[in-house]
Amino acid sequence: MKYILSPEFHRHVWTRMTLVPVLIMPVLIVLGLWVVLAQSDNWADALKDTSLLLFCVSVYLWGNMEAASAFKDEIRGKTWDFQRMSSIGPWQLAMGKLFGATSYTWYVGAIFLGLLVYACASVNLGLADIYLLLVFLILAGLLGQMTAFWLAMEGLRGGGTSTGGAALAGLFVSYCAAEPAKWLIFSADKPNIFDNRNDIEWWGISVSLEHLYLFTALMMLYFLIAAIYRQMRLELQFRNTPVVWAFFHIVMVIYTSGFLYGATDTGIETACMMAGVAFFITAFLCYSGLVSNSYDLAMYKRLILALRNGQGRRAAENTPRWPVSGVFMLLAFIAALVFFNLEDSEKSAHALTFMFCIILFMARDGLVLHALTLRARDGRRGTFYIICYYAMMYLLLPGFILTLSGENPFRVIPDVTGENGALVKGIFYPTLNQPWYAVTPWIMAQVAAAALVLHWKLRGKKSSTIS
Amino acid sequence: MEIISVEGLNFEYEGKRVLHDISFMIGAGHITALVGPNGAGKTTLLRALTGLETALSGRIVIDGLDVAEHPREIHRRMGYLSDFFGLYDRLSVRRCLTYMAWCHNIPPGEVNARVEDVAAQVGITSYLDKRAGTLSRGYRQRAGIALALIHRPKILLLDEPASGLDPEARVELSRLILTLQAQGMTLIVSSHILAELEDYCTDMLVIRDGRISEHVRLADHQDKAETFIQIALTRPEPAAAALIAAWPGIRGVEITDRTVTCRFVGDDSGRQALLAHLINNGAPVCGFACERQSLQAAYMDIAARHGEGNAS
Repeated sequence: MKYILSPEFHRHVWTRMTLVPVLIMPVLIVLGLWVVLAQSDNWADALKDTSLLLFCVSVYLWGNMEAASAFKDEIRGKTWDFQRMSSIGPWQLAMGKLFGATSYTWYVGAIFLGLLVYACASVNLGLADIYLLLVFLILAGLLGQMTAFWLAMEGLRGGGTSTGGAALAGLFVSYCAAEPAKWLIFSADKPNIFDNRNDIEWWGISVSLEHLYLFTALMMLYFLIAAIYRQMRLELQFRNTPVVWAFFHIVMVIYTSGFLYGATDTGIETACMMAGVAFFITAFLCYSGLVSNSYDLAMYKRLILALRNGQGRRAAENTPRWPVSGVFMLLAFIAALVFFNLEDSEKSAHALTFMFCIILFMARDGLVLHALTLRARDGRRGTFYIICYYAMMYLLLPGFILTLSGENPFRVIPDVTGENGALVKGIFYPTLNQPWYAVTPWIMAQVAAAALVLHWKLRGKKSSTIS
Repeated sequence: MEIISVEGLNFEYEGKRVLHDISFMIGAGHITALVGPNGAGKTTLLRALTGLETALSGRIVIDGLDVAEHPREIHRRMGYLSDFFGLYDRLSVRRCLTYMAWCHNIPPGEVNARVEDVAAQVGITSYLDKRAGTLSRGYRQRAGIALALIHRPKILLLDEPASGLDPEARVELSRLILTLQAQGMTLIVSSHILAELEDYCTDMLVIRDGRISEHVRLADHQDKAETFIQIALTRPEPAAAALIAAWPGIRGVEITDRTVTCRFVGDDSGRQALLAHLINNGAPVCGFACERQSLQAAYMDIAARHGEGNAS
């Protein structure tokens, strides 16, 4: 007996695509639509709106929830060890699990998609637009489900227990990725909505909006597949080097910089903007790496051991994500230093101070996150500590000090008049309005204090030493 | 010949050292009891052996392959049943086994035969078409073992396999384990209930506080261990008791009417010599019964020594 696609996919088909649910769903859909259409004057519009809504519910909402819980179900059902002990490869397992878990939602979605195409054809949407519509709707579903699946895996690996956040993130991604489909559907009276929009300049090339969307969606799809595959490799005890992670930084910086190319009058100004955007992208990725790596003390110890023993590959396999991002962030900061100094304005100095403050705050938060989660007994407790820390450092403490200094703590934008309040805000948040010498010593002191806390935590127990 | 070799294994879980510098070797075809109190690190050690958990440092070599370097090759050679395992409750047992056979890349033409084979081996043939969720505890355990055996591994690790089983099922599990050993399989069975390991184990690996405190070959241990001897006499004979008490290695001699009981430290030939000595000296012996030290007693011996070691 041979399986369909992968053993894992086949198993899901066995449990989800059983005769009764497969037969009953079309009947329910026909009955439901009959009720809706019977009460509508324009059946084509009613069918279009209803089938779009129900497609979104089944694929983007239900499908994302199924994708997010696919991995958790295995752990909760205590069947995960059997799968990990088998010879199944990471590709077969990851894709089989993702598409298997969402197979029934895609079956339901396919019915609504068929109805939607029929309704769109009836309201004179061109064949090319229908084709584009299908591509964007399906891509949005895939992107959302893959995001939910990947984030859920990442969260569970970090000791988390809930997959609701991952499903919500997937829903958000699906919503954003389905944007072009919405234009198409709700402008069905126009022959091609994209014809009425300007082309986008990307690295000096004129690209049509739909092609840019398509390219972006496919690029993200590639990285999501790579992320899922590599995460599954880790689960199956294969080891990864951070090559794809580094490649992702490069691609993201090149991609976003393409929109800035030729956006200003001078080359220096454009270079400044590119360096700034590259800095913020890499800083965001570095911060996300700090958060996700902070729980794994053993990884750091294995890294140190590998470095001590001169095992380069083993060291690369145990390198957390954030140092890779950190290198790119520092490169972007150096580029910003060079270009902003060439531009030489007060605005540039403030921008550089802002970036430098971000690096310092990131260092502070990274050190504290590691101190809090490394010694937490479980992931849930670690998450609780982290929430308390953020609330304390970004809300309560600044609010308390601002209140003492007579400022309104609920004022979001810092006071630019140079009063005490603005300085206090500069000490707790990255600021654009203070000179570097006024705020950085305070933030550096916080970094030093955070380093001491981490040092103290690590020295807390003898067992944490490396033998 | 060693099939499992562990050297300097250290393992940490959430910043806490769970296994400390563990080293041992297990020969091919042995059945090793991994014993120790709750929380000693038995499950962690088994999971590190399977490669399901990454050790902080140390080396595990199984069948000539380093677990850290070749985890998937190790999984092809090894079966593992965790203490809390699950089955796909909505699938039939046949489908559970078929799925696992696919996962182990068993050629499609052989899958059905392999499923029937392993089901017969663990005694669940008549349950193949029942839903896994409807099986009783004992049959779930058998189905779990079948899942771990479907790819015919060389090594089988069982974590608390008999917990929750009724006495009949325990006896059948013992038989199955001995059958697997007879087929050339090496087994490690973890448990903290020593009585259930008594029937089939050849070795005992004692783990305490994440450290291996003893690794004994049970046959050797029993040779060296104390034996309880009961000697029946045809008539009350105080001289016989004196003869017994004077023999080297004899302790705690007690006489009740026509029975002498004592404890003896020595192997089979030592006991044979004692019996010959009694008969040659005219002792009216009509019965000579030896009770070997149980696994539990052996473990308690080791535990006591460990306690003394700690105290000193």
